[in-house]
Amino acid sequence: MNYTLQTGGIAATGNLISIKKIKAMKKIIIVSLAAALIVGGAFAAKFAFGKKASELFRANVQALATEEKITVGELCAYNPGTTCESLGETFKDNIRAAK
Amino acid sequence: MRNGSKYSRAATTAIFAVMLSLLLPCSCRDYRVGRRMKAMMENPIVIPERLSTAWRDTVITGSVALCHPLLVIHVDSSYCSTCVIPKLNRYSPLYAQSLSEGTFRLAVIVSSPHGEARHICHQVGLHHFDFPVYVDLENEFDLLNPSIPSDRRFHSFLTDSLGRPRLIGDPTASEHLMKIFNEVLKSEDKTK
Repeated sequence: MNYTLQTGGIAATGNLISIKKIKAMKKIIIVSLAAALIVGGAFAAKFAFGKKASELFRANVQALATEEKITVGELCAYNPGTTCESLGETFKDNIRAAK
Repeated sequence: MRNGSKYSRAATTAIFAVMLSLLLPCSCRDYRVGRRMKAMMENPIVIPERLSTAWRDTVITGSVALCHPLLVIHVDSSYCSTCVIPKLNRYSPLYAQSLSEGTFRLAVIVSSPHGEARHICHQVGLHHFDFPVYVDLENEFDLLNPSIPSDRRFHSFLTDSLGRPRLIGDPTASEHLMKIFNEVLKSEDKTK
């Protein structure tokens, strides 16, 4: 019996390749792709900076990358007509706005 | 039976998706940080020739020599100086460590925006720090060191005696960085 299968762009005609085989192949492809991605990621993380990269360098990368205290910029209270007393400083712009 | 296999396939796909979404951003983030660190570590740091420091009621103008490992804490001109300067006190224990161990020196450098040098010097003088805080009068630090990224995590670093950064990050920011900082100091001491 002849039939045509259209699976993900791969067309197989004939009675040699069964539906079960194609499904198994798809599974194998997906699993191997995922495994390749994971292994590739781990490889990149470990060897991306060359063999000479010391343990201290890698530890420094991790410490810096995971640093929780990421400063996005100091905030200044800016209220026209008032001064920033809590900072112990009178900003020129505040005085101008107050006038 | 057919439904069961569908569910198991969906579960397998979901597990893979979760694993990938956890693994890939971590490795990408580390890679980006590492690449920038590597680029920064290849170039020696240049300290501006004209630095002013108001320390113990005296104003000194000069520069910082790069003949020893130097921990540089740089406050660039984009920071709100009046907010940052009072917080510089947290480097006092590091200065005490530098004096007691003698393995490194500390240089806290505040770059002043154009025309604000006098104001910054005045601010620094007001706080009577027990360590010298240098003011980059001409805002030259960034111009002299284009290899330093604008990301503020890279604005603190320890250089070796040749001026090349050996560790990047503020040791007071996390315990992990402090531990690495002390390990780098030990390794620098051994190479002498």
